[in-house]
Amino acid sequence: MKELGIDGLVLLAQIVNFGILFFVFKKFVYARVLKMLDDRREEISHGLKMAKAAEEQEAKMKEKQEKLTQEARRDARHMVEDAKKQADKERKDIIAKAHEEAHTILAKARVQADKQQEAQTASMRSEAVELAIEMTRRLLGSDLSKEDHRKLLNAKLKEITRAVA
Amino acid sequence: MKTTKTTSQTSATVISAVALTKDEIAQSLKIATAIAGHDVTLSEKVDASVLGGIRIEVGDVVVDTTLKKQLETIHRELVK
Repeated sequence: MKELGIDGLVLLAQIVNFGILFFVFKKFVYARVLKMLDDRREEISHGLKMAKAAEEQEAKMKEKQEKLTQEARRDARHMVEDAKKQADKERKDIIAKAHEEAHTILAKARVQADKQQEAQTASMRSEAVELAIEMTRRLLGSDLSKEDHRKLLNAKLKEITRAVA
Repeated sequence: MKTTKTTSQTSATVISAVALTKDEIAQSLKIATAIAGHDVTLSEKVDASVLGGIRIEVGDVVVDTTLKKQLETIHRELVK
């Protein structure tokens, strides 16, 4: 071994040193390192699980948000449709009412016009009749002779006598 | 106004446009008596506004054959 440049004693000392070092390492460091590695692995695993859970939670939230958005859109669409229907109904009601009022006003105006026309016709007829009666009265008052009066009187007396007999 | 009395107290009136003759008064009295059912006191009245004919009033009963009345009837019917 000396030919190879290796000192047996040094080699032995190094072996002993290595053994001591290995023992110390095994005794005091290796377990801690292993524990640190296990902790780290568990931490990473936990972090991954948390990340996955968060991702799933986010996906659920997104889905829920999408659902709520769709519902809100549907509700808004329904509200708009209802509002349109209501507005349309009110518009039709207003138009119908306006037509009805117009018909009523027109009917009243026609009735009023008819009444006025009837009143005018009656008034004109009355005036014409009164004029004719007055003319007849004047003619009878001035034109009947005594003989005419006698004839008329006798005729009427006979007529009454027959009636009361 | 002339009055022709009978034995009854019931009064009657005869109205004409011209004065009645005795015959006409007698006929009027007969009519009034027939209407009343007994004797009446007849009053004669001349009213030119009746225009012609005769009107006899016995109590509440009125027999009106005057031209005025006929004109009024015609007027009422035409104005209807």
